[in-house]
Amino acid sequence: MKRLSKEQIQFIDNYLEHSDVFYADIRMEMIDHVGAAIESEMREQNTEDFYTVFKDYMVANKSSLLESNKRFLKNVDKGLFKRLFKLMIKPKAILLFVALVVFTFVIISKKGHENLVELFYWFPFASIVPFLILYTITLRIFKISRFSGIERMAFVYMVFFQILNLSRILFRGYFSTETANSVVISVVISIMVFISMLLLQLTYQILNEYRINYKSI
Amino acid sequence: MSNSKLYKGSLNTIILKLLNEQDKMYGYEITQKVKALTKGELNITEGALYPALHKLEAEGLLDVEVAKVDNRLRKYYKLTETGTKETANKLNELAEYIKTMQALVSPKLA
Repeated sequence: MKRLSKEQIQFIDNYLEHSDVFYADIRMEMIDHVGAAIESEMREQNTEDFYTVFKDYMVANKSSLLESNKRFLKNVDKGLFKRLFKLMIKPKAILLFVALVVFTFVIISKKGHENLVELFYWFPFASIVPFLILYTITLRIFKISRFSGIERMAFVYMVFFQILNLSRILFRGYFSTETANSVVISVVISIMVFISMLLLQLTYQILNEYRINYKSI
Repeated sequence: MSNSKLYKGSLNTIILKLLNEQDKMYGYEITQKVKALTKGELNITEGALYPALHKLEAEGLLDVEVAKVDNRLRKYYKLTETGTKETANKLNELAEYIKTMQALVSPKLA
């Protein structure tokens, strides 16, 4: 049975990376597909000429491979938002949210809302810091490849950053008044903290999945 | 995929059905199995297969397993419990569809 060598696999990997298939997890699946197709073709043609078979395969299938890459990224984004929503509606998460509201309300009742509101103004900016730290650790310290799920989390963070920032702008005036309702303040602040905690949980889950499934990349 | 417009709507059902018959399969294996079963009539391209597999995975119908095979990593897909139930539903839907189409295009056979 004809099997491709490590060098030939590396050649396919480099070719795909230079064809804008940046993410290692997507490329991994494509390498296997292309590799299996080429091995089969080499057996059929009874040839050892890997490069000719590879060239012919790419002429016929490159556009389909790149289309698959494009559609994969769209699915990743959708998948991340779906997973975040699923995390939100878990009983544990709902309990956490209620606990956050109660905790914030107690703090406001005892200390007033002025200090908390000051923190609230900085929250949207602070909420993206944990992701940046996790991302830097993953890429730099563990020296792992670029994975679609991790990098697309940046997009999810940016969407929620915009939502949190908009809430900050909308509620700023109301929170500055002395008559501001403590329950409203508690709920708004809790939503922000809650979303940030879930984003962190999702990031951690995804990092772990990649660590387990793709440890040899 | 050949005859893409007619087969496109059934791609998920085809994938689920194949995985229901085997413990786990990888992408290229699925394309070759379909080609063999249909005697070359249906040729699933990468651009159609992988987005469908990833969508089914995101919907929780498929589970994945990565293993090192022949100097490279291979991603295997297998049905989850929900996926097994959904396969039965999809196959029933497809059978109904075929019956309806048969009644429309060749009433004598239906």
